[in-house]
Amino acid sequence: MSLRFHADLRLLLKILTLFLFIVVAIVPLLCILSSDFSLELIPTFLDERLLFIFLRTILLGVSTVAMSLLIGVPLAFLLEYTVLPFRSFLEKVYILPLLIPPYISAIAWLEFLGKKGDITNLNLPLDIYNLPSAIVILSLSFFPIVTLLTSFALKNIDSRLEDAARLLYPQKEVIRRITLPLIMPHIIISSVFVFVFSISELGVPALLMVNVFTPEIFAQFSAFFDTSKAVTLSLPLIILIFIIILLNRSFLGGKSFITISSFSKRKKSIELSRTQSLVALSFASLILVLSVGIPISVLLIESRLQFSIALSEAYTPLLNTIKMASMGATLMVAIGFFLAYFYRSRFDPIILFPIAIPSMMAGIGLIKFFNIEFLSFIYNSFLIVIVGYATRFLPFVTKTLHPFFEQIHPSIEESALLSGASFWRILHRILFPLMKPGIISAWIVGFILSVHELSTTILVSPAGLQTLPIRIYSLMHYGAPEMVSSLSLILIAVIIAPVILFLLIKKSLFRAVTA
Amino acid sequence: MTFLRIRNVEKSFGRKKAISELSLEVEQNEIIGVLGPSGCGKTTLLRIIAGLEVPDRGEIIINGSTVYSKRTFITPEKRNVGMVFQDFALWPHMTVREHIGFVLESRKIKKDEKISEILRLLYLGSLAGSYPEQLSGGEKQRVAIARVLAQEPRILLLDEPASNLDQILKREFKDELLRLREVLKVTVVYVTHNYLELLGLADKITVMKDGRIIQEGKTDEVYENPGNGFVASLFNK
Repeated sequence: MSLRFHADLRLLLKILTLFLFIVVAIVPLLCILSSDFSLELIPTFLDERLLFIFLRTILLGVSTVAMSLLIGVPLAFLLEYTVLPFRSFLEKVYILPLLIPPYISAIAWLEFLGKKGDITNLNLPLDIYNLPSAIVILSLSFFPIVTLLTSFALKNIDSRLEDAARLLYPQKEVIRRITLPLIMPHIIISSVFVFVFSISELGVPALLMVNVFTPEIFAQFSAFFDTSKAVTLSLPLIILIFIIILLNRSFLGGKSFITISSFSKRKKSIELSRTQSLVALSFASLILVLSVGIPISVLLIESRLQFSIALSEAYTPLLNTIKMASMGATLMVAIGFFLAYFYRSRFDPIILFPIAIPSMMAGIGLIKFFNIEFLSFIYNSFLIVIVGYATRFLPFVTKTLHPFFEQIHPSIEESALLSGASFWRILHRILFPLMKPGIISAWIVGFILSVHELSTTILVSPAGLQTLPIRIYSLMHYGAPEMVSSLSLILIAVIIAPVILFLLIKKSLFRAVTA
Repeated sequence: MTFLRIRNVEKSFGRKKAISELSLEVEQNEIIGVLGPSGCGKTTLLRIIAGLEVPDRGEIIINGSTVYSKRTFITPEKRNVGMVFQDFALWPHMTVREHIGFVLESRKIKKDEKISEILRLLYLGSLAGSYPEQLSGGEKQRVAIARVLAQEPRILLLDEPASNLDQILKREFKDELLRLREVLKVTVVYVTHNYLELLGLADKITVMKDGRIIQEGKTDEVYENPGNGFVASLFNK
């Protein structure tokens, strides 16, 4: 009987997971197609104004990718290949720009070089309200994605593959002909992430008055204009991104060249000369100063440390943000856990599908799907925001959990099964405890992404419900730099707090599992 | 004639001494087996000969020219040393043909005819367009040999090359190696923890423990007369 029950519970959970995933992540996105896209709109592609916005959006995305690669890939090589001074410090801090929402960086740069700042403004004859500025700010925010994935790949390449070539060619040639092709899938996927994130960004282009798709759709939607033209125009983009993800996968033949368990890891092999060290360090420092140092310093100065006033002003939005991001992260971990457990990498193209959807599209899809009588309890409450987080970020949470599952050998579960343990008991006594580090890491990823979120939330959140990013965004238009700056710093603190907590407990957490 | 001469080489990783005061001489066209348990420094020794690892001190001379000393370091690609790795380390993004082309290109040899010749020699013609993941264990082994053949190295280093092969493939691998020695007139250093791989193949055996050589001699002599209990245990005695 227990075996039967075991099988039933397992099956039930398996179906429920798939159902929830489809409802939360797939159906809303398909709704974009169903309602807004029609063949009659094909002539839209000839609308000169929209076409121009479309091309500008692509230029923004492609240039941000190019610049992020130019910063991110060399940085990864410096960290993984060379004996760079202060390397372990750099390894810890290069991720920081990712924790500062790009629109917060934009606010700081506007206070510094634009027209917004009271104290720090340099009053240079410099116009930063343009596309290149948006590209620079977005690249300084997103390059850690490239560094993160490239470093991961470099760390886990079987170094004997490079050694075998090193016997024939000089180091530079080995990097070009062996290392780069091997890590290319990781570079491509990081480029896809950066591309989608940059064309999804509302705050940066809106604040810098660069008219690309996201502010355009937002403006049209807010004014109750028809969004179908914009949606139609962005469809080729979605399809293109999806094709890149699929091609990248089939290029890998379903598996990566990078094996986490490879037994031959590289030692830092390249000694730098004094001059090279100096150049490398200057490069890394410059990037960190531009992406973290200046924005945080400007915000600190402009805030006049008015944190208590700012808190009393934005107490509710802050609480909303923490509450909803926590609930969103919990929902994503719950679905992602079973998705990763039951389906592993089998449904990757579908699991990764939401990544291809720019944030505004996701928002429109969510509204189309949930704005019906039957689902109005979600549509008219904070639940729609939480579902929105899941729609956008579930793939990231699921993919964070994957490698942790890979490390649990099937025999651990099988032996429990053979000794008669029920499925519930296996979950409760074996999988949950072993997966604890994975669950916590995935929760933090979900939480950080949700706290960041502006462009989908601003579309779907019901009247009267504000998150901190929305509050900051709307305050930005009224001036008050000390309030905007204080709140921005508070938002960054909310994002960084769980990361610091995680780093503090990381050692004991992983030790408990691997012991 | 001594082809490879290693004198008083030392290498540490942090506080751990991987190789201490190691000296070794290998004659031209000789196959020498380096036997020892894992972690005894035998792979580090190979990597030092290849130039993939820089020793802390000592001297290495290949065919009369110094490739490492206090003042000299010849980079790996200029040493003309070939290596066969455990699991063969074939490049996953290259076809069999591209593997051989890649090696020939490094020697600036006009490729097409030579590639076909090597493919034919190792019965790889029908697999020229295959990627490593499409090959069986035996086929991978032949590609690894083909790669060495294309390189025509002066010294061939083997790092546990047969440890993951079944008995039949182990036998084939031995035969291929002996053939390679005849064709290339190459000097071979074969590292393993399994003495069976060396019997009937190696001319001499060097036994290593904790980064030092503890016994060396002709294969039969070392096998028949292990110097101490540790060496005897390596021969299952």
